[in-house]
Amino acid sequence: MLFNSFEFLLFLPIVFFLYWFILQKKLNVQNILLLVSSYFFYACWDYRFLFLLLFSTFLDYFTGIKMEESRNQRIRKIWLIISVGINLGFLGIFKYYDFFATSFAGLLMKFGLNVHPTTLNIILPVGISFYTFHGLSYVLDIYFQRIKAERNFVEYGVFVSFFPLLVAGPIERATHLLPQIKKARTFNYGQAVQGARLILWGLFKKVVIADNCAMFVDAVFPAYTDASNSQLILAIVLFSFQIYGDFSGYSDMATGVAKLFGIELLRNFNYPYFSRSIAEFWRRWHISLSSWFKDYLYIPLGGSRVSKGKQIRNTFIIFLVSGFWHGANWTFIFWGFLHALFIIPSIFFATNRQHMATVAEGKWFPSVKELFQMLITFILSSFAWIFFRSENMEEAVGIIRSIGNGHGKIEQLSSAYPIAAVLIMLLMEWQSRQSSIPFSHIKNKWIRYITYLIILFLIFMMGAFINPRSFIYFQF
Amino acid sequence: MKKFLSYIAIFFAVAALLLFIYGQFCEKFFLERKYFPNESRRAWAMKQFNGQYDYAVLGSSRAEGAFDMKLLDSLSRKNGINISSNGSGFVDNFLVFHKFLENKNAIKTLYLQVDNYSLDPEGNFSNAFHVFNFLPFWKDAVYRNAITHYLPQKDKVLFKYLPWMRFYVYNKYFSPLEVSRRIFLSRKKEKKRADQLLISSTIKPEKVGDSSRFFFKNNSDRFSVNQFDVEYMEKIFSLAKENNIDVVCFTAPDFSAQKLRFSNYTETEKLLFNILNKNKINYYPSNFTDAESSDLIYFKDPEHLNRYGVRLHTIRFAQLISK
Repeated sequence: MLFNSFEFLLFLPIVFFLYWFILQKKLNVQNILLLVSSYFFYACWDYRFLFLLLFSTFLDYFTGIKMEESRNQRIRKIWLIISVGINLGFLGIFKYYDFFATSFAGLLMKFGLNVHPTTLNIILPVGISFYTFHGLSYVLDIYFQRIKAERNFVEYGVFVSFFPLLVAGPIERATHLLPQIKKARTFNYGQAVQGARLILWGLFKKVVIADNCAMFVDAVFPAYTDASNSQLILAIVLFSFQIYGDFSGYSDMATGVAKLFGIELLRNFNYPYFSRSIAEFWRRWHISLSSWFKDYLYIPLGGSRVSKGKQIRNTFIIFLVSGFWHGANWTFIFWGFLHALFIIPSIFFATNRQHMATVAEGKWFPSVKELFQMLITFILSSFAWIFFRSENMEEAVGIIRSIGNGHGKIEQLSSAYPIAAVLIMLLMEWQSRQSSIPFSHIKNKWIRYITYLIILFLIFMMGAFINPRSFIYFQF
Repeated sequence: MKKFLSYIAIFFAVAALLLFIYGQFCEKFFLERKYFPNESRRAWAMKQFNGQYDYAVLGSSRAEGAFDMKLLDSLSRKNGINISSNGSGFVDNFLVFHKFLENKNAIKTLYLQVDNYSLDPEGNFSNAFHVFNFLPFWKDAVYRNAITHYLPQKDKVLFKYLPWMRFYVYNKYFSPLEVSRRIFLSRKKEKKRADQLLISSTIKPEKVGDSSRFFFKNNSDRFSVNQFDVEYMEKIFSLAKENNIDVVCFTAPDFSAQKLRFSNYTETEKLLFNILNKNKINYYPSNFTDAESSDLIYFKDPEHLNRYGVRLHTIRFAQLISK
């Protein structure tokens, strides 16, 4: 069930109605409703993997309690290893087994050993990386005694499986979400309006920006040898906006839907293409994942309080793991490697904490220097996206080599819609870059209402509805 | 809560009203201005009015690009029109032909291109039904029935109760941008393009195709037969009969290696002949010899002739229809 589907259009009002009108005063029953709806939402993808989700939820719930009950540090550690091991084991089997098996066979072949590995060829359960990381953060926080174990299974289940964030995040923390689930919720008009705005803007970014860009990108990337130079460059640029529209659109809708139920989710995007450096880009892109890695990997490795050499080592570890988290393919690993490479100079010169504030704060336009910095950052991130989008390393290298040598031209390929859509988005987001809520820069309420209608009309007029595409991050 | 729900309700009501108004506008506008020559030859064919012809050629790109119409007319001393269009299957062809006759065009003979490829519109070839071309005619049951067959279930329900939503689902073809292009399109350009379409094909045949595109692994593909298309092929026969039009089916030449590429090439061909026999339809098979069908000099790709192939095919075809 996609957020931009007809089914979700029926599902959401039904759950909303039951939640606020029938079960308003019974917190526990409200939570049961959220849990059941979340499992139903997940089962709509593939009911078979619901058992995996249930098992993972129960495992972390149980090991969390066991860890808390034990006073023996060694036993606590054993429970942690059991939980982390099984969680990562599932992730390894479903997501990485085939990759390791074929890569290992490839390595042996280089030494003259012909091995035919057994691959599992199983479907990747949707959202497995996201809910596994939810669970991991929970058990790690209990182990390090940052939080207490949750005794109410329903509440813990909602934390792991709350349907807006279940399949593509944001990756929540128990410290942030669990207290909200445990607290009685009352309907808040302002919060609901913010939610509705986020849903509208997220939908626009998904069906207008991402899906229109996807049509162009999907035509050019696999057929890069037939494309012209301008088509290749445009496809790379449009992919940058496609993935942004797709993922941040999803995150906006998820945050918006959660707000309708009185729940605040972590912010996942903060206008990353207005960043003036790669370090700033990573403070604004997929924030919930970056902060997860920072808290559970970078800081335990010593963070920035170690020598420059170790900082650089830690940065490479973080980005390589982050790339690998996205998928079992060398292209993702290299994408992570490139970002680490881009960020190293700022660590070396200790400039990575620059640009903490919003660009051109309080001004209409950026300075020439800021514009140049944003452009360079965009070019670097777009270059790295080539590897992220390509099916394999050969394709990525082929595309890079073809730039400047593209003598062909793919016929019947229109870029007018995606370019127009991207310009509209950039204009809107530049205006509201100082706020996490779209349209908040429009102070006059009538202009704001008209803008809502225009955005909705654009969704209907420019949205790609004939072959609706799934969200890119569902595959992770 | 009440305030929030009221605002949401008002917002959706206003939005629905706006969408309804634009839908109503599309309903009228695209029915009157359905012809946009730079985009679609199919739309051009449906725009023809009051024509008097000896014959019409109908089919996919294999028919559209198989004739030099000027040469065919001069050799056969007949006056014909080629209303074939790129990517058309039998459902498209039936609806184009229906519209063509509805527009008071008169023909004596219809040369309908039939082949294995046209029975398999959604399999190996991109001849899937072009729903968007016929959406403006939704109110007419002939078009609506064909369109409905191809719609996903949720669109069937949606279009039944909110028919104007079809302009949003297929928004690429009915956007305000498209409206403005049709309004501001130069009449002169439009006429020039229409004249080009009348005379020759939109397909520009290359000299000789790239040989690497001609050979496939033996038995690497299979034709599947779509019964819905067979049904619409027979509907074309019936429609012609109702209008006292003779139907002659023909197959444009394809490259000989195609017979080895498709594991069921001969069986599908037999099935096609059975359908034609059952309906008592005259048939002209490919007029190329085996040697000509194997000669790359006549083809731009395995399914389409190039300019040399078109010339040879047209001369042979003219001899046939002059008899």
